[in-house]
Amino acid sequence: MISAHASDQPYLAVAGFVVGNSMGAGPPQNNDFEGLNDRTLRQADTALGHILEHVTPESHAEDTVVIIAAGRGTNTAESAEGAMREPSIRVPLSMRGKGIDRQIVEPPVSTTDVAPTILDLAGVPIPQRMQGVSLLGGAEVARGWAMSRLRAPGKACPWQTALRAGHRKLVACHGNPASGDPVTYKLFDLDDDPNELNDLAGTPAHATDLEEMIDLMIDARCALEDRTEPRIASF
Amino acid sequence: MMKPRRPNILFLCTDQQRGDSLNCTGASWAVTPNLDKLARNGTLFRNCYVQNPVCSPSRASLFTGKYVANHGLYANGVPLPARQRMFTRTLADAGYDCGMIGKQHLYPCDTWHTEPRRGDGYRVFEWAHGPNHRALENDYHRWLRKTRPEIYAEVFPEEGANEDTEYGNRAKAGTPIDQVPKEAHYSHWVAERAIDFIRHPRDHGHSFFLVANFFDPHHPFGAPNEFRNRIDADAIPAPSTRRGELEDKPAPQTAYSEKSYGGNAPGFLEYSEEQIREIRAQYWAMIALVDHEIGRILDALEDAGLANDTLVVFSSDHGEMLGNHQQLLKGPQLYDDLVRVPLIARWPGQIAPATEIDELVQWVDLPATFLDAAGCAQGKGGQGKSLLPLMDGEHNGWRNWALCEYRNSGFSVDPPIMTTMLRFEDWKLIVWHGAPATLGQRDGELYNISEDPSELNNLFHDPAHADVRRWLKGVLVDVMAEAEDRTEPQVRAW
Repeated sequence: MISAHASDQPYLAVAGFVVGNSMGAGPPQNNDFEGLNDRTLRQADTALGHILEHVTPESHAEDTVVIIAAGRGTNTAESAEGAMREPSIRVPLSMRGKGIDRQIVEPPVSTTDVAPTILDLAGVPIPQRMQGVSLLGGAEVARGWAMSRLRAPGKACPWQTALRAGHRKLVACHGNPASGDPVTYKLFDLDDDPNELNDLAGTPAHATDLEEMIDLMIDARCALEDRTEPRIASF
Repeated sequence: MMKPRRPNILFLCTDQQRGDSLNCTGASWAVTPNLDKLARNGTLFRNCYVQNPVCSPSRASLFTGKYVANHGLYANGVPLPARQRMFTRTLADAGYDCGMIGKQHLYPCDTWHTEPRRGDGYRVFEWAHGPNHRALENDYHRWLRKTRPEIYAEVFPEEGANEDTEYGNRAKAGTPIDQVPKEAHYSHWVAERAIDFIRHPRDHGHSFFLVANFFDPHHPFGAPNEFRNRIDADAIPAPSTRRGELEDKPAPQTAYSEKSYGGNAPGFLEYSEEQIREIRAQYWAMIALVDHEIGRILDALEDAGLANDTLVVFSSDHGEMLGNHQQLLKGPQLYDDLVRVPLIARWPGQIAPATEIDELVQWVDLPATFLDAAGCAQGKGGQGKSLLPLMDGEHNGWRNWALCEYRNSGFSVDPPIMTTMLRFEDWKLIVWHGAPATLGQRDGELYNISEDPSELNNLFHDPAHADVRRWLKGVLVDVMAEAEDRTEPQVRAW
């Protein structure tokens, strides 16, 4: 599709790779995330390289932006315990091409930011309905926090909400107010503890940190509600 | 309970009426014989909470059965999105003869806009946004011009008539239309048209749904003298507050004490003690008038032989500060003054008379109840629960929380104010949101409702209640997850 594209009309092409859990239909998996030696990942990387070979001057390479992103990470253990760990919810996101500076953006961004970024690149107004932000401004425009929600109706895996802000990460494992089953939290400092081995939520020394993150989660939830209907009058 | 044939459903809805404003809910000075009788013959809910403290978002939760975060009409001035289905449409599709009289407010009505019809299912739609609202389609004005042309001409002359869209909000006391004789009054109009709808001949088996949306006791604070004279102002206690109360409350409440409606209406501090006393008397005069007109509607239902086949529900879309906590009207405050409303249900033979229910119930439960009574499925996305089993004594498993969400919903202020209330067990937690929801200062309120029902003592910053505060924040985190919009069905496992 890319190499055949000779006209001046810009194109948008989406290539979807199955890298991790393939719903039972993909190549055999060996999910060793730490080593990144997974066969399917190598296969996808090779295929990606093949695509990029076709982004040539003849196919307007100078006007082409390539974005690499992922729909989700891999919950290696397929467990409730692992559902909100970094390998499950932190995904690659990189962009190269016209209008994209060479830089590393450290503050958290979200996959909801990808669509507004693409529209911004295309010069198309970002619809009010979209809740992400264009990332073309780099770290300065990054929201600095990101939320992830797991809602699996009918499954044993409980509902979970994760909030990453700066180097801190809060995971709320939801309870049930009706039965008196309370929410439980995990709190990690990803700078000191990137593998999320040291849960700080129960430590008295971090009680204030924990409450601050809970406050932020409540406020972030409010911020992420859909208020995109236009307000056309005062009452 | 055995379900009878599909009942008629009569929903009597007032505007801005506090939960504690009836004689049967604690206001011994209230003149509410008809509503008290309705409660004696039905079920009185002690703890009914609306999902938003201002008109339009609250009413959108009623008509869609969804929390404010989900139906899209998060503030006055925002139209209800076309994708949202009204329960009245479902009733009409099931064969109900549906009608709406009075105020609806699912669309902005500022600048004399007429509220457009949507897929509402009504056969009868006799609409007015308010008694001073000058839309050409104001059906109350049409009726008044026809029935009492001299009064209409006097109040709304050809020249010099009020054209200020904020007229009613800025008035410190009743406006002329609020004080016309009862027979010309807008509450009388709502009742007259409701009675006409009830008497409309229908084939056997053809049931009706009617919502009679009264404007009273919404401000301006004025009522006909006949009803003001029935109120003993001396019997009404002074506003509930204490010295220095607002110093312990989130800072915006001080601003709302000075000016109501985010600076757009007179504030509590602009009134003298005597004026506040008169406002409160006028408020209960308006309630006495509405009670009188509701009595006429219920008599007409009886006279038509329909009382035994009709589920009658009475409620209100939100409350009124009425000077308590040194504040007036409504806004981001989530005191019981604003969010706890009266709720009475009567259905002879189906709902036990003279019962009271203390459980926390919500306005989103009303459409679920109406649809349940009508034998209709609640439909996609409805988040309420039918109250019929609860009224039948099935208390087990009833939802033990109530949620109210204010999202810059009243007059817009900068930075926007967003507040969320959780009622849970004896407690009330109110979050005043900060960043990233809004640039406003994050703060909170915490009340023990059983020990401090007037919500005078804010325990949010009290070190002795830090554990309670954290515990309730955790419940709120769970409740917000539970109240998310999951309208779309999960059709496959993946």
